[in-house]
Amino acid sequence: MYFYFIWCLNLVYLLKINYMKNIVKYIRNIRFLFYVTFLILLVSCSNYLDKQPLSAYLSSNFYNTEGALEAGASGCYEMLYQNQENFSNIPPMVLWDMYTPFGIERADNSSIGVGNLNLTNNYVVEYTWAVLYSSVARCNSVLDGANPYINNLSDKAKQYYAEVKILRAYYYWELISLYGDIPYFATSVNNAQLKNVTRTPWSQVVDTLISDINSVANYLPWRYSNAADWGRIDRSVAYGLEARLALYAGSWCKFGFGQAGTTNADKANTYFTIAAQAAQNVILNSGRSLCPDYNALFTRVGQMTSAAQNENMFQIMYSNQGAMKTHYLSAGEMSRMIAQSGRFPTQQLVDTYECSNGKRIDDPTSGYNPKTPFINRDPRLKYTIYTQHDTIIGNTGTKQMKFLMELYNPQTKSFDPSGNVTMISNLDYTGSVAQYGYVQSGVGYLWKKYDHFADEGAFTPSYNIILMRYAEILLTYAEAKIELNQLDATVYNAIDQVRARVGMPSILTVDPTRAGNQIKMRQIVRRERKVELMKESLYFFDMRRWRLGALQNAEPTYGYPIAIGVNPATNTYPDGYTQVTPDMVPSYGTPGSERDLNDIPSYAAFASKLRTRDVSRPTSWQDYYYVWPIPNTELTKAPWLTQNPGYGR
Amino acid sequence: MSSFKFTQLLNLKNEKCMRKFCETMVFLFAFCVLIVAQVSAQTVKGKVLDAQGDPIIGATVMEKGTHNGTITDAKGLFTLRMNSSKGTLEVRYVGYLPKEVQLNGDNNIIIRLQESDQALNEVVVVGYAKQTKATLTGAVASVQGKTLTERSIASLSTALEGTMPGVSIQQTSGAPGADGSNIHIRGIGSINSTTYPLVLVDGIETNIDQVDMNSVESVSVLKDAASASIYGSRASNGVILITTKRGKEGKVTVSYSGYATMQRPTNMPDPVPAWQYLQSELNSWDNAGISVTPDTRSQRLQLIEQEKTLQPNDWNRFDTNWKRATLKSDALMQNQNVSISGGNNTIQYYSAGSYLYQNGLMANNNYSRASLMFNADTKITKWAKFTLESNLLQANTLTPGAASPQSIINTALYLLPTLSGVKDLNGIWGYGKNGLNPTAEADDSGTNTDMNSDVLITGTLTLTPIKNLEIIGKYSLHKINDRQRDYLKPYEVSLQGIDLGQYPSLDNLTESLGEITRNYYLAQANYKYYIEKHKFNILFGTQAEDELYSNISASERGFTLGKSYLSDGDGSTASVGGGASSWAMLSYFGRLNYNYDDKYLIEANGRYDGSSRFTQQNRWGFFPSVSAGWVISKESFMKKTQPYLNQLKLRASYGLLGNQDIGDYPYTATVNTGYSYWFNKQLSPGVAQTNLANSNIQWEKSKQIDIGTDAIFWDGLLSITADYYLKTVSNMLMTFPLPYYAGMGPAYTNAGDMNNRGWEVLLSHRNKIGQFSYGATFTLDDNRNKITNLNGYHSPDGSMTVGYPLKGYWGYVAQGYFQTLNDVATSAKLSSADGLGYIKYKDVNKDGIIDSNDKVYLGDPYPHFEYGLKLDGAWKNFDLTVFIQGVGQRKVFMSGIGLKPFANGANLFVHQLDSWTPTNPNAAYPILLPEANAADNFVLSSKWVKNGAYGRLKNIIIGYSLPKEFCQKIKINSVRFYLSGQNLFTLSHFYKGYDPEVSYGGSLGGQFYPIMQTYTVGINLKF
Repeated sequence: MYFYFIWCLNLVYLLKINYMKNIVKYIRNIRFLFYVTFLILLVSCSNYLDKQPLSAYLSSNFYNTEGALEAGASGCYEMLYQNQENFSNIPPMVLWDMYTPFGIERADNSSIGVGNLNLTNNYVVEYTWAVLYSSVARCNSVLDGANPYINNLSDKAKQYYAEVKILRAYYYWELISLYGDIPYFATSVNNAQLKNVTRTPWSQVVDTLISDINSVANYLPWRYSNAADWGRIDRSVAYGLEARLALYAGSWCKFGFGQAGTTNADKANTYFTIAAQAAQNVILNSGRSLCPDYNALFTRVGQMTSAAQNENMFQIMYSNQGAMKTHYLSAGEMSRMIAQSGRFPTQQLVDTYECSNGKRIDDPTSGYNPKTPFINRDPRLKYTIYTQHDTIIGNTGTKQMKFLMELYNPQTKSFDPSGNVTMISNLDYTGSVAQYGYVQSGVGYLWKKYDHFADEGAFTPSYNIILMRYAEILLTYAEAKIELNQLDATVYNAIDQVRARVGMPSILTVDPTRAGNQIKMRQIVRRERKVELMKESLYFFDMRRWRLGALQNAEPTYGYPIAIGVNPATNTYPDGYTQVTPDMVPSYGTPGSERDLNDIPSYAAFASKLRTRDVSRPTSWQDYYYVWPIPNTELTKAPWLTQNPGYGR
Repeated sequence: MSSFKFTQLLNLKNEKCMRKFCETMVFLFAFCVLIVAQVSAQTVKGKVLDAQGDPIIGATVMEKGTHNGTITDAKGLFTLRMNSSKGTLEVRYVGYLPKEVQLNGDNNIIIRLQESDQALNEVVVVGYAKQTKATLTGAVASVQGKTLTERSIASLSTALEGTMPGVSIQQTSGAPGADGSNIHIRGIGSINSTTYPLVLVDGIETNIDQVDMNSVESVSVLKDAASASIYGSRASNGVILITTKRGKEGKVTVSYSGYATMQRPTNMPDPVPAWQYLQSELNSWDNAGISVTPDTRSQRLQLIEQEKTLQPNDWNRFDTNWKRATLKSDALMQNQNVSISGGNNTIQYYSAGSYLYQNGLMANNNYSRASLMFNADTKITKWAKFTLESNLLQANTLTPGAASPQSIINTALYLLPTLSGVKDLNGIWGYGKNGLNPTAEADDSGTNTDMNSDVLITGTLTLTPIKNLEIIGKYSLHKINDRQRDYLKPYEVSLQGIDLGQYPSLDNLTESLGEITRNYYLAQANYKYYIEKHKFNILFGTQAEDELYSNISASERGFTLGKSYLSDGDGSTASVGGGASSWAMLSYFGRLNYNYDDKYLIEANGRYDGSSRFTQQNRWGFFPSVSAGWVISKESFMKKTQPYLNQLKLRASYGLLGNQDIGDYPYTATVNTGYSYWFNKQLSPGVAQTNLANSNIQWEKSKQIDIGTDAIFWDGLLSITADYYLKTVSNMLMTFPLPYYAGMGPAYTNAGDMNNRGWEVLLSHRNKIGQFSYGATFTLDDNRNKITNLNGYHSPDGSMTVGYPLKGYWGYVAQGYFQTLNDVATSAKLSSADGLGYIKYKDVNKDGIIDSNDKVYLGDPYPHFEYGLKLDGAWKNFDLTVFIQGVGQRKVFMSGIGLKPFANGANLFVHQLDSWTPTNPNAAYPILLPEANAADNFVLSSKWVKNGAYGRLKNIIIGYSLPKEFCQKIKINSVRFYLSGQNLFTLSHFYKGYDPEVSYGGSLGGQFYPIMQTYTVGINLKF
């Protein structure tokens, strides 16, 4: 460039000297001019072009203060929302139970739970994979950034650092539980490291995560004294996660993981031991306890009580304050009168709840009457599920609603604030949106857990979504000990504590022969996990680690009894439950069978009398569903990755 | 290499800053003041007139063979001191034939110039200068301001459509305030960086649609690398130079022009009424084999019968036409412009004010724009001139609060007629789809107001210290303020008398203010040197530009008391945000022209650019070009052809350009705020890094070869311009999708090459027969894009495939429908569910299954063989312009609601009723199925990749000017009335109900704002 100008300049000079004699007198001036102009060309400042981000920060050397780590940690917590705006405004990881036969999605025969989808191309499978790895990478960038400085930083900074490490373990826990072996990164990744990555065996990942957790757990307090820290990971969450991880790993070793289901009893015992110890550590040292009011755990108001906070250990935090952070969990579950029902409970789940005397419903001594199936049951049935003629409450955003659940009538009773009764159209039964309601799309039930409130709009609830609570720790402790066959009073007590909170009798009171019987104890702890933790996205993993997929998916989805005898004048039916006959009690198989020991009801004998959907369910379960596939799009970008067996390539 | 040393030189000076730079400039000009050129010898006086005897202002009068000359003043008068009393005068003026006058001692000569229709003397604006078209060596197209205003369109970009070959302009939307067009000069110049050309108004970068067309003198488009390389790194997509009008010496002229336009959509699909929807849905269930209980069927048939025979009662029987309820059939637009210009020999000015108002197709949707401009030229001394350009613009766009107009139109078209009434019987808005009611969204959901104000002031000092040396210093300040006020007001919904609350459930007000401040500094010197038949022109200069962007925003909810400003809401819901970013560029540029006898033309351009977007090591780039022209017609061996071949020129050019418009800090990874978490229900600020970084990135480069010719026959009866070019883009800044497990967005890398190859032809014919003068201009061009290297990447959907155009469509080959069960049984199918009336796909690789290996290339979405034909004629006081524009080849694939019946729970359109049945085997649509069962029929295939070619009567204008005598009586200079129509008639084989020019996107597919057919009445007055 420089020479280019010189050249131009010289050219002009040559020409002038040779041909422009008549203006020679100007040459001096011209030369001067050119040189002045030239000077301008050189007068510049290269710092004029040094622009660094103004309102963002350069990533290098950023996490070297307590404040930066605090903000970085918040950024990692933020991934708990899983970019929910892109996913129906719900973090997908709170929906897993809808992919089991206990929960169903609106679409008949074509949801993940029913398996009638190509999972390798499924959006949920792909989205979850992607969002969890974004979460891991975000944690890694904070941890890597802080590593050179962390030893010299304050205790508070170390606490934030530890929180991020536990969060990373949480995200990795989701990944291995869903996908089995996964690409594992202990640090941030650069371009070169992205190539030719292989999948690390899940057990190796589990071992690394357990050691990660143990390495930083002591940076965390058992409980935060400052209310402003509500929502942060504390030491009980760290050990709770360790217990969960080890329990899962133990089951996977004992019963098999993935299509082949290879087992290793020794390793299983090692993991169960770790699980029991970690859970016991929480039970003995955390100072946590169960909240006396089960229902309070799942409402915005209840969650703010100290009793609920004592039990709820780890949750996705929402808020009705300031700019608000809300979700659509309830919007997708409430009645069509209030919101847009899209996910429902099933008869299988309803029939898993014991009668209030602790007996299973097929037990002649249970007192169960199929005509009045919802009375005298474990109270958690009514805390978790709305059944026929329950009073539903809700809030459309501007209007509070209170009405009766009505399965067989185009109209239902509505109560205004002063208690006056009017008949209103039953939108779950009739009208343009009824096809998406619990009558036509579901099987006659609605979720009540999390969804029984009227203080906020159904589309803007701000209750927190629980990821871990103390009841799970108790049951994890019990299950690990049972699998180790170390049956003692602490085990019975752990389960009884959970039952006693809702007034259910002690397990040995109901059946003294359970004492010392590993098989019966396994049955009761599994049953207890189902009914206690339903809809908390744990059963999805339980069904897989207990390897119950084939058995539990052996029948279509059943529901309410079909009513016969329409009144042509009013187009109404009698209440179907009045037509139920005493034989309509599901079978739990021959005593001692796997069906019996896992409390899985069968409706084959009277299936024609029940509302039925998902008829393809019995044929669709494949054992390779025990782990999800690596998404096809990922394999396209990373052809060096192997696929889980059974999913083809 | 030389550039390296230069950088070192710069680094030595790196303590200095821009202020120093300005000081130096001031010093330079102060110095220039000291230089005074002198003139001597004897004087000739005279007057230059046109054929009508009116004075010609600004004609050049030269003493032949010397560089001694002057220009005529407002009365056409000139005074020239001659070196020799027996010399010859040479008189030139643009648009007139040059004339030589032998002096014979007369001291008061009258010289009459003949008008020339030839484009020979036409002056074209090029980078940092003007050149005569005759000696141009680059590919530059230009169009006069008058051509643009006569079309009566709101956006300048759209007005340019079809006027210049190689400049592809596509109007994709008719939304008020957003009906500007996509402009691509010679194809797509990049995958990730901008593909939009650099638009400069009087040298300053501006948004093309914020320019008031009435003030535009001319528009030049620099298409090839040779003409554009003087803009270096920003010119890869071509450069559009807009020159505004300036005042002329003479009496004050006042002009008024105004028009009123009625706009209505060119095309829109029609949804079917309720009974047809209900019947179709029932049919679709039957077709899909979905069991329908006898109860349900009889209920449904009863309802269909009622819908057919009875009026909807809006209680339990709805037949709502959301389209009619939401959208107006037409919308008005009006434009008023007044300009005043004039001046004397020391100061000239041009000032104008314009107002445009454009109404939309729904409530709460309009656009208004007011602009004021003032250009002044002041002669300070004989050798110093100061010019000022100032532009003020205020544009307001109003859209409904709940959703964009595009989304509302989409909803109004697809929403089922059976859901609810527009309003429930109690007068409250109908419940629609869970509260979504497009009419309520448009009419009653609050408003989003966008207030954009743009202030541009430029001062230029031009010094001519000695003859032929021009030194220019320029400073410009450009401030753009964008103020947005988005108020979402929920509306109340009801169904069957039950108040179902409000939708959406929460209100919201967001007020935001974004401000861009751009500084622009320029110093440039230009020296002309003519010796005998050699003409040299050297130009060099330096330019610096910087931009600072900052924004703030605040939002709040809970406006329960009626007023809706931030102070009226619930303070506990308030949140704020804001940020800033900046970039800067520093450039040195130069040009050397050499011209021998206007016959052999050579030009070299170069620019050395530094950008803040790269690290210090990679910041600088040099972008040179050369071009040459040979005016064959001037050769002696062409003497014979001269009577009819006025000009024949061959041109060739080669050059390098750059591109870097890719975010402000692409070289770095940043930790950004905005990833906050809600501990204890309070927002706790969080930060995150979300992208990987690559600090080694550099400029995208594009090389372009251009070969062209210009020819003029029979004094302009026919002129031809033709070009062929090859543009190779390399080092493209690409982000290749990383495996998800990377967990971060990819960093940019310089990888990926692409080329654009194309040709352009412009033919024009101009003639006058008696009182009838007419002209015809025809343009035709084609461009082919091809990706040549992607670093091994292949996008799954084929939209980036080496050897094929960017965004190419890849899909199955459709072979009609399955007509026989035997065919179904024996053919390969996409899935086993496919049956009679489904689309049959070709098993391309003959492996017995239809899978992704059977997908073939089906074309690209870019327009090819674009053409324009403009015919204009004038007879006595009448004038007529007809403009036809079209695209010869283009492929379009629409998805979602625009394509599939029932998509996403939608209604279907009338044209979709023509679906396959055994008795209608050649229907336009396959067998009608519920959406869930229809997926196989609506995958990307040759069936749905439609031909987007079209030919369109774009514009027709009929004008009448009042006779001169009558005008004189009413003391008006001239009066012209006109009628004009836009998009009046279209030929195409596109999707029914949709316009081939518009783009259809959105999350549900088929989202658009129709472009408009317009009818205009207008008047032009000159006092």
